[in-house]
Amino acid sequence: METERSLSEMTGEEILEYLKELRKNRENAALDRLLEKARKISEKAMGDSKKAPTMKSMQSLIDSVGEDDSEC
Amino acid sequence: MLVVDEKTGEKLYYVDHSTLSTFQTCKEKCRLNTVEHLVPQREYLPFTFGGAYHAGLDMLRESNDLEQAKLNAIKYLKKHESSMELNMDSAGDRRSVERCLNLIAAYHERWKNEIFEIYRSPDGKAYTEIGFKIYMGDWVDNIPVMLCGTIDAVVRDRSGGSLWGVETKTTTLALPTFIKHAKPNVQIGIYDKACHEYIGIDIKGFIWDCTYVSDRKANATGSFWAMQGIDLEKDFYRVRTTRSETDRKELMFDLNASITDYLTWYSKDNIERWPRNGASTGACHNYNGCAYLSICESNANPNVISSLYQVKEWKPWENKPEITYSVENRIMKL
Repeated sequence: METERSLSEMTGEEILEYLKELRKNRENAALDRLLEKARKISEKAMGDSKKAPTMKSMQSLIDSVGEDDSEC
Repeated sequence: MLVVDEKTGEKLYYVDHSTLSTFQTCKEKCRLNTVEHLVPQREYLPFTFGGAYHAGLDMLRESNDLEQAKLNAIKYLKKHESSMELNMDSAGDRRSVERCLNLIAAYHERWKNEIFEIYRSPDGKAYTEIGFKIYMGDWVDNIPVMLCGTIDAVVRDRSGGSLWGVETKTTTLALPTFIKHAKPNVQIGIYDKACHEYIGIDIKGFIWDCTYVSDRKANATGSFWAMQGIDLEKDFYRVRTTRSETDRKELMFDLNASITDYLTWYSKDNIERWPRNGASTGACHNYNGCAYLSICESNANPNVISSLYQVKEWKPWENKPEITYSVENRIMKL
């Protein structure tokens, strides 16, 4: 995680770069959370059925991954 | 307020819409600002945020270069030694550098296919940040009174060729309500009159161009703009507003009355303070509270003033054009 920076200690270009990086980190963190969620769902599906996922369980997995996770 | 023009050495009374509007809402606030020249030590974030956003848009209008626009906004914040936080999600206030830059990018996206284009002079210079000062007549001490202001931009309708002034505002009020402030609106009225009668740009009206400063956090799994805390449809509204000849005449009546009222108080000697009428007009607590509230609450305790405020003179003549637009036959008398 980046440490907090202040306006006065950076040039304009550095600030733009820092904010780009900040956004990328946010997106990566959100993606990690989604992947973790998907992994758990997948594990649960496998554990429940003791067999390969069906089209139905895959669809449920895709739907849950596609959810808008506004708490992130 | 009375100033000595640094270029000519001439004494002038300068008034602008902001001074007159402050005077209407609280006379004492106006005195603290325009007579005592007091400004709070602590940064007033809505002011610096709005200034940076305008600096960014000004560059965007002139160059159409988004990167340069963002850099210009940062330059403004640095020039004003702003302590605004960078990160939108960790900022204690809804105003952060990140939100300001995101709004500039979103503004560009929202209006890039609009029907208007920046109006340019034959030599290619963009009509942006057009400063003006209008001679309103002489005060009772024979010192000229100048009404000054800065118009954000003039744009041209690509379909019909008509010209429109633009006034951009940032607000935390809901935009469906805020766009109703387009008329009546003294600031727009003054700018409209300046364009028509003094600067000589035949505008059809003004575009009241509003940007909502939200407190939305970045939604990292949302759409491209949601990731930046922006709602492209809800955060930007525009409305066209026009003024008739009668509107302009009525405006002059109101302006003459409020300038006379202001200068009457301004010219009073040996007076300790002006009336504190902010409590009855709502000015004390509107918009996160008046910047001078501590002074009134402490009944002008000198220790409060010296620790929380600094003296900084307003220089309205800066960034204003050399030309003065004259008005004939309008001599102000008490």
